[in-house]
Amino acid sequence: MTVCNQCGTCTGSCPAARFSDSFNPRKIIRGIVLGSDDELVRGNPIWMCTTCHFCSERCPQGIDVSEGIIALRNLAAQEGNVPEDIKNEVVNLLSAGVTVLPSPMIEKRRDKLGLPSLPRVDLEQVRTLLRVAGLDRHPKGDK
Amino acid sequence: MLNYAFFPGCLISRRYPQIELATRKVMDRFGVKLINMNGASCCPDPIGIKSINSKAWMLVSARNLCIAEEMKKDIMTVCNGCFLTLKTTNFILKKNSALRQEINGFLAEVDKEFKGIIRVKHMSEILHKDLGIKRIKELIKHRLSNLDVAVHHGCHLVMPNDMLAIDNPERPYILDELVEVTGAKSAQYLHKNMCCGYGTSTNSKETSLEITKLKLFQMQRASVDCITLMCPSCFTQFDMGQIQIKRIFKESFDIPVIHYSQLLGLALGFLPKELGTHLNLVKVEPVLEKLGMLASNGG
Repeated sequence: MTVCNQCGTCTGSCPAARFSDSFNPRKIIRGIVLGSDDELVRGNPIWMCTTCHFCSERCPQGIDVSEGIIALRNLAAQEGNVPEDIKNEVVNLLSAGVTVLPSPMIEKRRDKLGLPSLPRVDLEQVRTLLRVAGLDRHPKGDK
Repeated sequence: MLNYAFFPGCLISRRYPQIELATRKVMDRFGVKLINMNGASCCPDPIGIKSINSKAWMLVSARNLCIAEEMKKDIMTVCNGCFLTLKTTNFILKKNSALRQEINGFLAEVDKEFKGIIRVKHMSEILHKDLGIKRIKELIKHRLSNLDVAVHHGCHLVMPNDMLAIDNPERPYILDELVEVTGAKSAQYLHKNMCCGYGTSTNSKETSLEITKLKLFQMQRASVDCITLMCPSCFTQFDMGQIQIKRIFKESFDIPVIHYSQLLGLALGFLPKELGTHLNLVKVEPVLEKLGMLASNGG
């Protein structure tokens, strides 16, 4: 990160920055270098990234900006700073092993289309792995 | 005969069964056998779950890879997100022995071990490389002539390129060639390789749709007949997204979104109904009409 020369290729390539005044990957990297991680972790802008990865692909200094933002998000999650929709994804993963829950409507539709029934998910194994990684301690993830 | 461990992913299997249907039909036509991965879970989501806990993301992904290893089969994904998760974790764990050892320590809790003996492939790669354009061409029954298609390849088909390595991220061409073999034309439009916006929809629906709207505007300027893509997240963003854009921004585009498996299916001679195109939200009738396939739709 310290090799960043603030050229702004990341921000110029960023679809989210084009439409959001609060999100600027160049400034995020600057923030990390200057040690303002705490502020970044508490704020909402890090959640604006679409994870398209163009910033990392194009950085002339080879900085993986996208992974840097993911690392900040991991820290933010420990503080409970997570968008509601992503919290719901975690709840679904913990309760069903999938992030999109099956619905009677879709099961009926699958049946009508002649598709095989959904394969069984080994939920216990998934839960065990999420537990050893500490994901079951996530706020709202305890359900 | 080619056969793969089939990883349809949460979105396709639980929200877009029409994409699973078309995929199964098309691959069957080429003699490719898709085998279910029993016990498999969410890949998991490389945006949501990885953002919350990267370690949990890698562990659950590694477990899915282990299931395919036990089957001694390479994995086929259709979803760019599943492709990103499974291929990058497979790549990292094959390369980094210290990390592999650590992950295997955790996987032992569920009696699994990552060995690094299979490959993760995207459906577009299997069609383009393993089967090949020539083989596809031989089976085309109904050329989709005069159809102008906006190809949206989707970011996670090509990036991070050092790990995914199937196409050129700045100028992807695989999906364009797969469209052109059907007889349709892959249209040029501005911001073609820009993200669909889906990735930020969990945080800001409006910003995500602004991105989608910019792309739709450019597609409209290029006078395309439809959009085609592989990724179910991009599918959501363009198909349901157009309904949401109409509601939120009062702007209409009405550009049909046809998953590539459906588009190829039409060219292979399947009826629209057999490919579930009636389940796509933006009505696909204008495309079917242009192709002279409306009469055979049958509802």
